[in-house]
Amino acid sequence: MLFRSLGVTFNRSWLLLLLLALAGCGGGGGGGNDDDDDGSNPEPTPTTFTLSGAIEAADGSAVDGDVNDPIAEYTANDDISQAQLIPNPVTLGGYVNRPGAGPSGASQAAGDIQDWYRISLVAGQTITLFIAGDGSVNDLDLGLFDAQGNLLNASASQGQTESLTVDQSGEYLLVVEVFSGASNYVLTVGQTSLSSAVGMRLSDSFVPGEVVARFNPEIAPTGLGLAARATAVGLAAKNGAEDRNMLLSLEGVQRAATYQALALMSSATDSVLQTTDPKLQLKLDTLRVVKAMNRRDDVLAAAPNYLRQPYLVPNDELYPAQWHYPLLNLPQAWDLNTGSGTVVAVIDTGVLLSHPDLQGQLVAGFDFISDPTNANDGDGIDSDPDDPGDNSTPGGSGSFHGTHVAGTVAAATDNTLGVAGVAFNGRIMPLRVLGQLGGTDYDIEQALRFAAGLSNDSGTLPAQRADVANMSLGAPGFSETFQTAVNEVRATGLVLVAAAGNDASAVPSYPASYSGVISVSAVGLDKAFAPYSNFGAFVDVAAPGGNTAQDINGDGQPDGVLSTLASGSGSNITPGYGLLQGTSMAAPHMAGVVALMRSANPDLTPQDIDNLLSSGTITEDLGASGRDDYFGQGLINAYQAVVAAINAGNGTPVEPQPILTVSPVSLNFGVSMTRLSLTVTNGGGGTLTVAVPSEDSGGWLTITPEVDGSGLGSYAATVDRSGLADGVYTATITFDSNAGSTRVSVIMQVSNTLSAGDVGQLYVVILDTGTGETLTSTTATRQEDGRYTYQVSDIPAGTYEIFAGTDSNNDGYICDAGEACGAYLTLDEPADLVVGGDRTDLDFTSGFADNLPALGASSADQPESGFARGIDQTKGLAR
Amino acid sequence: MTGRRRLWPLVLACLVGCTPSQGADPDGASGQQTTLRADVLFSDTYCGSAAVYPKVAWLGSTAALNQVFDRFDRSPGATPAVDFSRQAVLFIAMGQRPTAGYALDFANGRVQRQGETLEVRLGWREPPAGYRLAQVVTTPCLLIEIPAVSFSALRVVDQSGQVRLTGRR
Repeated sequence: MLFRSLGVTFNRSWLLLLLLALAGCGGGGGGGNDDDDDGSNPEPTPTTFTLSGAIEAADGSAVDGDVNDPIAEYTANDDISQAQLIPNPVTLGGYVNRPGAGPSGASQAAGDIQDWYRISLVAGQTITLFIAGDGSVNDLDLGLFDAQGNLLNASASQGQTESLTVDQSGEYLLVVEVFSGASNYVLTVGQTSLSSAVGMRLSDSFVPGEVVARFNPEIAPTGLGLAARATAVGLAAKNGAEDRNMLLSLEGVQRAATYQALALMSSATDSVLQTTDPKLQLKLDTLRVVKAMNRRDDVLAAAPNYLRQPYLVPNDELYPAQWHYPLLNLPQAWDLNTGSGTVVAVIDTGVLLSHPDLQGQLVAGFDFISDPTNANDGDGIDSDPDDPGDNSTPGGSGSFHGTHVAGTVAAATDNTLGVAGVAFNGRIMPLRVLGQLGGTDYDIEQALRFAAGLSNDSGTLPAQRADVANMSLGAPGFSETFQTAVNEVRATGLVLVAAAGNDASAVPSYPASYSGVISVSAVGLDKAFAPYSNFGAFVDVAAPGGNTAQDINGDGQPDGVLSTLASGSGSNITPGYGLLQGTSMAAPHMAGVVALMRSANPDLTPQDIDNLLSSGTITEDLGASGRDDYFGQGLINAYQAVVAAINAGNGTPVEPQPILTVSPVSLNFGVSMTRLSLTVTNGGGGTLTVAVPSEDSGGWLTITPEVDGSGLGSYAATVDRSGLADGVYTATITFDSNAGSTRVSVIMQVSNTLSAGDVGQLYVVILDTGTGETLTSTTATRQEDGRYTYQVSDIPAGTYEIFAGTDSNNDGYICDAGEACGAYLTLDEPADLVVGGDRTDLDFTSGFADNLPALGASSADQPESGFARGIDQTKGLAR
Repeated sequence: MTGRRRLWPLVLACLVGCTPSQGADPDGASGQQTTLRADVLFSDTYCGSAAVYPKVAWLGSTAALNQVFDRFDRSPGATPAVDFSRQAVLFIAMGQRPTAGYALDFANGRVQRQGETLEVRLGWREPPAGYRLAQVVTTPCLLIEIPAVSFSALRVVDQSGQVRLTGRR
C-alpha cells in the first residue's frame, strides 16, 4: 500500500513511523493494528480515514474571472467588451497586477491591469474597494463609467480603501485598475451603508491642476529655490516657500514632462481612467501627480488643493473616523472659534511630549507625583510631565491615558496628520498626577493649584494660568479638604471638568461629584447612554465616550473615541492613535468646549458656565425631558455653547442660526430589520420649523412622525419587503426646514432567494491542530447547484482543523487578505475535529471578507497570511 | 489572520512528533508535577474585543493566535512568530474593567503541569484602594508561550492561591 499526500510518496515503513509518532503525540491516538498483519485478523482496524463535505459560497459572492491562479476557471475581463456581469448586492474577490509584479502565475508576466465589471446600481449605493496590499506600493484605483464607457468618477487615493457613490440608478461599468504593484482586492456593493465615503475622488471639490506639497528638508535641503523644486517634480511653482507648504501647478507645463519627472508615464498611459472633458482630465492628472509625489522620499506630503465648505472640516487624515465631533456640532462651532488664547490643564498620566500630533500644542507643565514608588520615573515631583508609561502592563506598554485625553482636547489640527482636537488653537498644560498605582488627592490638588496660578509644591507658577482643568480620573470617597481646594481654584476662574466614572452605577465618583466640578457622563455614536457610564444626581452633562461594542456607522471599526495614543515603555515608546472608551474620553470633549467658550468670551466665569449649562440652552436634551440623572442637562452642543458664550459678552452678538440636526445620518435595515428611529432637533438657535419629510422609495418605506408642531422629535421609519424582488433597495428621506435640508440615506436588502454565491477555485486544507501545519489539501469541485464538494482520504487519526479558501494571487497560500476563506464549523471558531473514523458531514461556508487587516505605516508588502495549499501546479503559466 | 503557515514535509511532522516534549508524557501520566519554562509573548491593557470576558485559552495554531491579535485595540504590530510544532500559547484575559490599574503580572517564567492540569501562577493586579484612577475602560490580557505539552485542563491561580480562571484545552 502506498500513502500519497502533498505530492510526496511514502512507502509503508514511513507510514508506520508516522503513525507511531502521531500516536505518541497525545493529539493522535488512531493507533490500531497495521493492515499488514499475518492475516489472523480478517478485519483490521482502519488507521486512516476519509473526510468529506460540502462548502457553500457565501450568498452574494462573486469572483474576478481572471485571477492569477492558473488552476482557476478563466474568463478575461480586461476591457469594456469583456466586462463581467456581476450581481447586486455583491462581495467580489479579485486580483490585478502590473506586468512582472506579484507572484508567478497566470497574469504575472503580461499583467492584468484592469478588471471590468458591468452592474446595475441604484441611486445612493456605495461601491467600496478594499485593497489587500498597502494601497501605495501596491496601489489600486476604482473607476465608475456609464454603460457606454464614459468616465463618471474615480477614486484614486493611496490607502487601503477606495469608494464611490452613484447619484442615479442605472447600468454602470466598474473598473478596478492597478496603478502600481499587485494586489488581491474585495469589491463590495450594497453590503454596508458607510456614513462617510473614503478615498480621493475625481468628484471631490478641489482646484484642478493645483497641488499643495511640502518637501522633506532632511532629504531635500532648503536653498534650491521654489521654482527649481517645482521643476524637479515636473510642476510650476505658484506660491509658498521651501520651509512650508508650497502651492504647485500643472498649468503651463508639458504633461509629458510631468509624467517623466514623476515616473508616471506607463501607469498614466496604460490607464483607462481617461476622459475627453478637459477639466475632469486635469483633475485626474492632479490625483495622479499627488499619488506620485507622495511616493517620493523627498516629499513629506502632497494633497489636492481642496475647496472647503463654510463649515471647517479639518484635513487630518483620521478626522473622518472622529464621529464624536460632528455629534457635538463642532464643525459649526469651529467657524466661530477654535480656542485661541486658552490653556487646558490635562491632569492625568502626563503626556507623551514627543507625539507628532501634539507638537506646538503644549505649554510647560509639571510632574506632581510625589511618591517615587508611584511615579515610575525614579523621583518625586519634578518639572518633566512627559509620560514614561504608568507600568499599567508589567513589562509591557503603558496606558498613555493622558496622551489620549490631551489629543481630544487640542491635537494639532488641519495639518493633514492624524486626528483633530476640540480646541485645537488652544494649548495643553500637561500635569502628571497618575502613576502606576493611580493618583492621590494631594498630588491632584497641587496640579489644580499650579493650573490656577496658586502657590503649590512645585515652587513655580505657570506663565499663563489655565482656563479649564480636565480630570479624567476618579474614585469613590468624598474629602472635605479636597472640596475646599476645589473652591479655592474655582475662585480664580478655573473651570473644572471631570469624568463621571465607569462603574455603571450611581455611586458618586470624585472629583467629578464635588460641588463646583462639571461631571461628564458618556454616550455612544447613537447618543445612547454608554453602558459603563456612572449616573446620578451629580451628572451635569454628557459627551461622547464611545462604545466599542458597537459599529453603528459600519466603518469596520469599533465606535470608540479616536485620539493620540502610544505604546511601549521606557526608551521604547512608539506614538500612534487608538480607539478607547470611557468617561475619561467624554470629559475632554467638554473641557475642549469650555476652552472654545472661554476663547470666545474670556470674561466667562465658572458660575457663568454653570448657569449656561443649567439653562439647557447649550445642550441637546437626551433621555427624560429636562435634566436627568443619566445625561444631566444633555449632550453638550459646541455650536450653541460658543454662540451663548459670545452673546454673554460685550462684543457683537451672534444671531444663533438654526441647525437642522438629524440623527442618525443613515439607516441600514440590512436583510431583516423592519423599524428604526430618527430624531430631528434644532442643533443651533432661533426657530426651526421642519416640514413633513419626503422619501423616494416608491412605497416600501414609511415615515411616521411622532413630533411637535415644528416637526421636531422622533420619526419612525419602517420597511415592508413583501412583494419585492431580491436586491438592494435604497431611498432618501429628505427633511426640509427653514435652516435648509438634510438627507438621510436608507438602505435595505431583500435576499430571500439570492442565488448561490461563487467564490472561484476553492482549495481545502487539512491542518494538524497540534503542529499548526498543513497535513494535506485538495481542490473543491463546484456543483451545478452552486455548492462545492470535497473529499480527502488517508487522514490518520488525530485532531485537525479544516479551512477552505481561494488563492487569487497564486502565492501558494489560501485565505490571504482579499481571498475567500472559511473554516469548519465557522471561521470565527474553527473546530478542533477529532478524527477517529470517516466523516461525510463536514459542511461549512466560505466567502470574502471586507474587513481586511490594516497594515503598519511602514509596511509596503502584502500582508502575509493564510495556509499552505500544497497543490502542485505550473508556476508562471501565462495565458 | 496575519501569520504564515509553511508547508512542511510530512516526514518532518513525524520526526517532531517523536521528540519527548510532544510525545507521551510519563510525568503527566504519573501525576508528578513538572515545571515548564514560559515566556511572556505579549501583554497589554487594551486588548479589545478579544478580552472582554475573563478566560484562559490554549492557542495551538497560528490561525488561533492571529484571531486574538486581530482583535486587540492597540495594534501590537506583527503577530509574533511561534513554532507551533514545539510551542503553544496561553491566552489569559481578566475581562473588561472600569479603570486603569488592572493587570496580569507574570514574572516567574514558569508554569506547572500536574497530571492533566496545567497551572499558571501570576499576579492578578487590581488598583489599590484610596487612589484616584484613570476612568478608561480597560481589557488587560497576557499571552504566554509554553512548550507544546499534553494536558487537558487549565487553571490560573493568583498570588494568594485563589483560582481565578479555569479552562479546557
